[in-house]
Amino acid sequence: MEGLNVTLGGLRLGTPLLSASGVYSLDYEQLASCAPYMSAAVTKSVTLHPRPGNPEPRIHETRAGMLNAIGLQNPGIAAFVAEEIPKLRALEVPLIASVAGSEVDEYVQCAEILNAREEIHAIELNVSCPNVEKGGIEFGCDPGVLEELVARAKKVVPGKTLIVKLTPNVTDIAATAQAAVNGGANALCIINTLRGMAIDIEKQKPALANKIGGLSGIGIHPVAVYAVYKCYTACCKKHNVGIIGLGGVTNAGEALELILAGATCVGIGTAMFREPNVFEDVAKEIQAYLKRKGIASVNELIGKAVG
Amino acid sequence: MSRIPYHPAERPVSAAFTDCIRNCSKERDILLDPLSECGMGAFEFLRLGRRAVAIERDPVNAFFAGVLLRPASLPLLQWAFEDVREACREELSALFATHCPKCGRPGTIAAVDRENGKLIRIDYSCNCSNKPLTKKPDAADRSAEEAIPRLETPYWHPVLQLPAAEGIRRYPSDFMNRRTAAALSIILHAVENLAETSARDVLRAVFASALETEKNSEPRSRTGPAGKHGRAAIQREENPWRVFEAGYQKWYALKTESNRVLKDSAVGHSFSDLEAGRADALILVGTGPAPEADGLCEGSIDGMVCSVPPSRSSHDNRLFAIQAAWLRKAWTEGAHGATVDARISSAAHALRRSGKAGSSAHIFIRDDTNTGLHDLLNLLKKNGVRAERVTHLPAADGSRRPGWYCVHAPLHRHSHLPAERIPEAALRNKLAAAAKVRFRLHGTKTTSGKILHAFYPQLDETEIASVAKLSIEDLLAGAVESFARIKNGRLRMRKGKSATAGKRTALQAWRHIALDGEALAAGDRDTIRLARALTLRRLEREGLTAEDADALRGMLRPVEIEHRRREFAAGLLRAWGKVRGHPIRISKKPAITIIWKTAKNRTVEFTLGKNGILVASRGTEGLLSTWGTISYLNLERRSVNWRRNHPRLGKKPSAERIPLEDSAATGAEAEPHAGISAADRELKVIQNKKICDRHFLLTLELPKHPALDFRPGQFFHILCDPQTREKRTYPLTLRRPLSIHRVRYSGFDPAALAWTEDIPDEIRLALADHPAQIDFLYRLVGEGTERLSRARKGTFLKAIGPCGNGFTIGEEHTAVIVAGGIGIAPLAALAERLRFYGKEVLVYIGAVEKEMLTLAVTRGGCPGDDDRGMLNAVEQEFRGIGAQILTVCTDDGSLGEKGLVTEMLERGIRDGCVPRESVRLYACGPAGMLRAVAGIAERHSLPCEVSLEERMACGIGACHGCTVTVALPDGTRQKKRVCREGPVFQARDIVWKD
Repeated sequence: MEGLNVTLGGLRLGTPLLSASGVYSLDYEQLASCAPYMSAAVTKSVTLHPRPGNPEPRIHETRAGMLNAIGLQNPGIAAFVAEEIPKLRALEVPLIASVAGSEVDEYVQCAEILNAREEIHAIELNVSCPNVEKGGIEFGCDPGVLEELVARAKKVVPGKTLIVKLTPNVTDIAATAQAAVNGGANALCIINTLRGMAIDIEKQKPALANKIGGLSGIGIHPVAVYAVYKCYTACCKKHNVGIIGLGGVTNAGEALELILAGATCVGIGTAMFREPNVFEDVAKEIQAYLKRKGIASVNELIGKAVG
Repeated sequence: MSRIPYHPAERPVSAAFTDCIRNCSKERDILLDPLSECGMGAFEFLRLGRRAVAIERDPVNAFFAGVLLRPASLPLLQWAFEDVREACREELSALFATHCPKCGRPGTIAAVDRENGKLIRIDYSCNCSNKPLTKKPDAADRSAEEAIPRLETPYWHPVLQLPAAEGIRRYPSDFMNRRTAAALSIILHAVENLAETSARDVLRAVFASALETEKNSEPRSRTGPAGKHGRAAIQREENPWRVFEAGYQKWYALKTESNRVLKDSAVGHSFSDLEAGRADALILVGTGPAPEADGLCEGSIDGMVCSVPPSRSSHDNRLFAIQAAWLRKAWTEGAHGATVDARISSAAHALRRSGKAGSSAHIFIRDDTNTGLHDLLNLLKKNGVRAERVTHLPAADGSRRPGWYCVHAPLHRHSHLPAERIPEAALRNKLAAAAKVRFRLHGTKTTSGKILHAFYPQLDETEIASVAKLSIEDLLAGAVESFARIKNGRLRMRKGKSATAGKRTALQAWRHIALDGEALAAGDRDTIRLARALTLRRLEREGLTAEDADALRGMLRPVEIEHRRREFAAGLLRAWGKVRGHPIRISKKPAITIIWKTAKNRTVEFTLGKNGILVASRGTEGLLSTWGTISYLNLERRSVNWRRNHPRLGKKPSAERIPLEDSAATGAEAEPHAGISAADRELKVIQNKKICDRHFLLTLELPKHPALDFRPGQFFHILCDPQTREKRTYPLTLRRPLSIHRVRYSGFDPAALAWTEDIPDEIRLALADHPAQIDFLYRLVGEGTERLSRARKGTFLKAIGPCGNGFTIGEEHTAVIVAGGIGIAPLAALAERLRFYGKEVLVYIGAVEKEMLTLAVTRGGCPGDDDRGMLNAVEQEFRGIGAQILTVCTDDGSLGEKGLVTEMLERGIRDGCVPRESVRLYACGPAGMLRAVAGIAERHSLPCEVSLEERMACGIGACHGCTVTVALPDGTRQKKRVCREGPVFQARDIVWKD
């Protein structure tokens, strides 16, 4: 779209907006016209083996967002390749496959399988899921482990864009970002959900069966802006690694904040639950903003606020 | 059923046809196939133990039918095969042979031109050329032409008169091949039913190979291969088909025993043999455009299942014309005949005339283009048959189209002719029949005048004087007169609204008479369904015995009949008033009061109140304390329910009542309904009414295409951030799923719901312009519902829907609904839908405490503190739907009975209030209750569907937030999404949490 074209890790995208992992399904395409406004669809994280996910309840709405503890429910990579990808091919936008696992080998094997599929344009390593017992977030917390994981994954997907999704649940996100970049990541997705917890005072028990969950939604937006800023200034700008800013975006203003803080693209997740049409609204508002400010391309805005 | 290849009247291969027969009739019923063609329908009727009447206008087809229905005999079959094949060749040779002047060898006529009946030009083909040739007729051709009328007529000679347009006398061989092949395949079919296995094998091989060659060859030569199967050994005189031919314009009877045809004989021209069991099938062969139907006795048929010949494409027209051309008569005289339309009209005529009250017709039509179906519906409508419902039978490969449709139409009762087409004589007959009913009041025969006095004492003196002079016949004559006037056009239809209104009211009056007449006739057979209203359990509790129940039942029965009679009389009076132009004011009727002495010497007085509701008016102290009203008899909805409560028709499931999707068995596996596309819409708030402190009723309007085919149990995912004047605090992150409570359509008959299971897109679009109002019932539980309660009338709410799979309507006759608290919301719509399908609906309602009981939601809210009023209101609510409430209970006993609703259900099953067979449970409520209901269902082996509740984020299956663990048939467990694969699951599939 005019003024909105961006390039992320070698991937040319029509708008800087893409879906977050785990919230998009083809049904949204039927409810609202996402396609021209959503430049890429990120699939729900897939693991090597099927996972049943966590017990219910898995969802809790908070005052400014929601907690979820789905637990990476997915049919496994084999079923994903056989059943999901053919359906998603109907979409006219690039596909980004999100991959998770409990061991490094699992990530690598999944990435290898997906590398063979030409429908998949990029692979996102989810090293930050807060809701599974093993794996996930532990890879994303230790820079050393992360670097090794990314390096091994990059080896098997040499021709595709490799995105690493980072967790904010660390002391210094710049360190993990640096590790991912060192490992060979083409882009970073910042941030995954924040760890959180809610308690039902009537039942005097945790609101989620998993006890803890990941907080998403409008409440985490400032955290995301900060994390993007931190990573952008610390290493991404230097290494020319793109950032997908993700966290609490519900309108164009919030999307622009992330871009101005250094993000190339903006992911929208939880907001889709409330408003399936959010992509169209945000894209058009950004265009209006560019026109109002007399800016030709959204690329000029990336990191502008933080220099 | 098997299919006869190469026959123009291809039949549905699916089991739907057979199922339809099973469902719409019982054994020994007389079923009609008015478009019998080659008798496959009648064959199925006999096979399933029904008796059959098959009407066919084409003797060739009738012959086929005879072959099908008769006991197979090896020599005769051989003979038939040889005869068919040879005669076909002879026919062709004789009719289409000519002489090629170029090469001198024989050629085949393709078409001829005539002038004044004389041949002037012949188009023919010959082996010497690939192109079509033309020649002038020579002497041999002329003599052959003259010889045609004198040729021996084969036994099957069709006398069918069909359009014989010029230019379609071509391709005779094509038709001949089809004809021969059809005959062969039917014979083959008969062979399959032979008893002797060895003979069957031999014949099958012979016929199968012959069939193959016949199909491919194009007989041209005059001398076909001679019969190899000893045709000479069989004397023509032995051929029973000769007899058949002689009698083909009479009733023809076949008798079966344990599904095997035993003997056949020509019988008299009446139904008596069939009805007396002396025959099992009648094949009626007619010759004219529509004479067959007149031979059927009125009210003689229990049901009708038939399939319409394929649509009248030009190809079929050509075939029919060839058929006509093939007939010597048609060939030489160019006679014109009836079309498929005329035949369907004839069928409709037969259907309307001969159907028994309450019976139904099921007409299958193959329709690839969707025009045939519409034509058929129009044609039926034109002939006074109202299609109640159309179901689509998917093609074998699962695609929605092309395929077969089945048009379901009630026979006789709902059938009414358009005013301009009412035959006066028929009306007179009908009314005269109704007039034969004599009133019996207080045990004595009564004149109409006395009846009027008894029933309408409030009439003023002059009215009584004038009315009392009239006999019932006079009243009827008045009705007849009015229709005669309409018929003769003396009522000026174009004068304005009043004339039209007059016509309409007169029509209604006429229908009223017919309706009441039938209700009356059926009244004696109806049993009062008090047993359920006064369950044994309740009797026990009230200290009454089963004897009391029987006694009460016995006493109530005449009351019901009396009521029906009174209704009948009122109908007559109203009709008479309309006709004579001075309407009769029908005043409040005197109460019928019965005194009932129980076995324990308690005296209770019942009064028959408005709408047939029996009220215990005196002596009720301590008796039926919570149930002041017994709604055993709900005549308010009689016009809808009468047929469903009919002792014969109502007691078994019928195909038309079962949704096509066979998801009943696999509810958990069912994909969302194909016809539904959830959409995100802005819906107008029509009302958002506070019912009580904790409950609200929200009504949203869908302006167009109101997701016509919603299913009970589906939900809308609503954004609960209304446009309010108050300053917004923070936006809600998630939408809230609310079940559809009721759907009300405006602008068309609620009976249009009948179309919702599976209707062609065209019809759906036509109905889509009507707005619908969707009710949602919700309880204040949190921020979302609290905000929703502030939505004001006239504002808009965003909603995605309908989402989810919804409940399925099974084959079971009785549905038991178990509602816990707010779980009642989706079940009201379900009860309505179940009633529509003729199910008996029994309802259990439970809640934690009085305040949590959601009651009387659409009838003006809860009546406050008055417990009895609340109970009455909730009962009225469900009675309006046609469902029957068995128990209302609360955990703390603050209203209704004390105890858990599942305990009540368990007790109901144990005590027999709930039948043990043909029952399906539906439940919605808290998880603990659902689990208990599932346990009960499992213990009693009842199918059970539960609607689950889970927190949802996306509502459309993207996020996997709202899952439930389901056990798959192979024993593994899987998480299913409540929003997508649910919210309705088969209870047995669910793995309940501890």
